Amino acid sequence: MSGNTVTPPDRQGDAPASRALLSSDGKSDNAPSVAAGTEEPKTKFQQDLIRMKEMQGRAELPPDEIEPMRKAQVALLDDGALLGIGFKSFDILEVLGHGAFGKVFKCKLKGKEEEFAMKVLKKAFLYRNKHLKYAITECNILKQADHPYVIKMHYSF
Amino acid sequence: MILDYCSGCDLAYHLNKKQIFEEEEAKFFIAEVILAISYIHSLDVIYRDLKPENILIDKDGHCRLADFGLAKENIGEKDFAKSFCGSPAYLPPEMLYSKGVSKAADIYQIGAVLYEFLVGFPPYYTENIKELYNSIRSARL
Repeated sequence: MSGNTVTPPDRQGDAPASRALLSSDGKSDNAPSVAAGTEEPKTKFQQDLIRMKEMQGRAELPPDEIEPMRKAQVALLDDGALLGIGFKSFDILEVLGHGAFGKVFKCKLKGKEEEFAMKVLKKAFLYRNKHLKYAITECNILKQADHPYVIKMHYSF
Repeated sequence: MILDYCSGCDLAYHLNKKQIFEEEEAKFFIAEVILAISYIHSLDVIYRDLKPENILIDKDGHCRLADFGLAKENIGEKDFAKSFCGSPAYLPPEMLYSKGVSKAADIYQIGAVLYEFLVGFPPYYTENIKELYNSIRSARL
């Protein structure tokens, strides 16, 4: 997502930037808890990274069960959340970029080597700006799409 | 959303570094983009935001179309999408006339992107949005 994209009128709005990230654990609205005595992170990217890591607990699924789950999920075109693959199943490695509606992180399934990009959209922000339908469309299209030159979506939650 | 990680950055980055692509490179990239767009169209989806930033390069050096944030589903041969959206420099004329856009808009944008590959900036490029829109509407290249 780039900054100079023109959006239709109903997508523009000046709602305050929400900190609610794509997470189901309900912690997303809490301020990041920086332990006393630790040095303040220097860049916004570093702060984001720390916050994302704090929001993660332990993976709910053992890593060797994730792959079969993934296959079933792909066959069913189902949401990762229903199968226990969620935000907590991934290690966040670095921030790749950010746009008006969210951020992209580089991540890895816990216990696996393969790297993925995690696109995190601010659900509350999308909702307030009536932009949710675009995110749902994106998700639907990527679920259907299977082509060597089109980006592939592995999970969504 | 968990997506493929493309380690090769996007084409805007490469274009910025190299200024322009060699004809052979441009041909290779644009051919892959055309295949991707034609596949997207076969699903009755229009993309609406084709630009070098949205074309990622994977670890093998192939193009990957990313960011379907402005795409629209259920657009057949004769359907039009009404929203005004996209990136100014790549907007097709019919978008500026608010006529609604069809699959042809993506094909216009393929042309605009190919132009940028070979020339180094998008067609009619200027900082002045009004002038840019006027040129897209009526100027010769």
